[in-house]
Amino acid sequence: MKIRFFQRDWLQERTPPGLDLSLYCMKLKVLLVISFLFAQAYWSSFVYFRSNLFQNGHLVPGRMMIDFVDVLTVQSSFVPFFGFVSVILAMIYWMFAFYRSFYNDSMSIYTMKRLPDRWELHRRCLTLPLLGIGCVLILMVLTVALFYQLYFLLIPKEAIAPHQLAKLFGLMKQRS
Amino acid sequence: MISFDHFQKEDGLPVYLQIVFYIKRGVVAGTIQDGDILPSRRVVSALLGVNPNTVQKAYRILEEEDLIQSRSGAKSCMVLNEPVIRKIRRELVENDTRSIVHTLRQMGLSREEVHSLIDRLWEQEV
Amino acid sequence: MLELNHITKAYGTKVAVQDVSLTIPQGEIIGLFGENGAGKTTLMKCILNFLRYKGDITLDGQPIQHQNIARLSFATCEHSFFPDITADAHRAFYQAHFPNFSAKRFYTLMKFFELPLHQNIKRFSTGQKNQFEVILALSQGADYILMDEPFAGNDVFNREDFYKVLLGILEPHETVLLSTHLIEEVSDFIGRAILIKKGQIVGDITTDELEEQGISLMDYIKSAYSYRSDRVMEALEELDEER
Repeated sequence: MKIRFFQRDWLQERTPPGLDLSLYCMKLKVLLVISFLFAQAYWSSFVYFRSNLFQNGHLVPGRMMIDFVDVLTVQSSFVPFFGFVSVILAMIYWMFAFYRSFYNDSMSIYTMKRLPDRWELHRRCLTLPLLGIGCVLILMVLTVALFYQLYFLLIPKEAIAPHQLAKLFGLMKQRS
Repeated sequence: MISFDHFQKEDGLPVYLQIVFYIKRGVVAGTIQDGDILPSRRVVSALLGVNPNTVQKAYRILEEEDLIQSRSGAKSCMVLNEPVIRKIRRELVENDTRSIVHTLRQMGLSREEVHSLIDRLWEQEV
Repeated sequence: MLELNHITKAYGTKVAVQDVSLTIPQGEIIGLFGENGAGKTTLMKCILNFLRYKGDITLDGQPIQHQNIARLSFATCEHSFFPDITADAHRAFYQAHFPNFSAKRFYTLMKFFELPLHQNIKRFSTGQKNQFEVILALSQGADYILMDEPFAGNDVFNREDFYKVLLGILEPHETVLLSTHLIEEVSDFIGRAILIKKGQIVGDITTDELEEQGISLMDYIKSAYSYRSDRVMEALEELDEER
């Protein structure tokens, strides 16, 4: 498709010359998938706390489900976020690796430092990692949103404490 | 176009003088004639592997001796006639002979010995 | 006009370049000579703004910055090309970044040296890499072409060809600063010789001046370095005595 090719060229011109863009895009996709899978660790906490609401197949009246934000963070020991953070760390590593690539095999850094366009070097080293960080942050937000929706779908209304959204954003100190 | 194919760079003499002598020897030998065009300074410097200023010096000397005429924008060409060619021949012969005389004197030969040597070698040539 | 005013560069306590002042007008072909570690490379890197230094360097009165850096080009034995792309891709890159890049000169030189246009540079031989490095520096459209020992590893025929092509294509306004060990080879080709010893300029003479004084470049360099050719004889005589 014409649009896709345009984006390939656009991106290729913002990575170190000669970088195998297909390979790196694949690596990024794999990292994103793995980080999403890692986030599913949320379910082990969720299932545990949900099961505590029931006895003999019936909801115990008065029992409230742990706040969403707590299941996601404290109660899971933040494990669901490890994948996303790892991707961010990997992107920071890519930044260093890209800068270093101008010192490998030949000192092409000398050419980059002589360019009238002083931002070309940084453009080529930072664009892909920053896009990667953007992608993982978006993925993180979408994942949290997904889990949030499922929380409401899977927990009976009466067992859900109020102001879940505000609590998610840390606007209310109260924890159930 | 005058060719520099047979030019050999030697030690001892500055290159610009070697170029001047090369042209003059060509004139005497008849391979360089009136109206022949000289390659541009840049081409000669590339052919010989010497700095363009060296070639410029040589061309300037030839111009000062009225052997070449340079026109702005166009290549220089040789300006020769019989009297000029004879003058150059005399000059080169005198130059070469001067070196020989110098060498023979250094070796300690007397004038008479040089004369009889020349006579003997002259006979051999015939 | 490239002017260096009292340039000093030290790496900690080691002084690589000591109070160097030079004036380099356009159109000269200059040989920069000096022993290993004399400061030739450091000096070039200061001119190119790769290093911080004391003193100032100006190009036609202006300091060297991104606005005028394109007027300087650089070829080094360390190589500064991109090994993972093709020669033609280099042409595209240079064309995009250097407004005075000459594609015509680039293709002419590539053809003359029989270098492939569509192969990654990392697959070139060392000699070819050196040639390509110099081709880029010559095609950039710079007024000042700095070359730091560009022929390390090229055979003599390669080098001879190169000097001749260089002389053929250089325009009168183009300046070449060539640092090299190959004194004999370049002595006819350069118009001026600058000698550096331990970070300081110990000689700066034009070939015209050498001719007027009747000394060869090699002799001038030997005297500037106080080269003692009798050292060899002395050492051999000592060995003889021992026997």
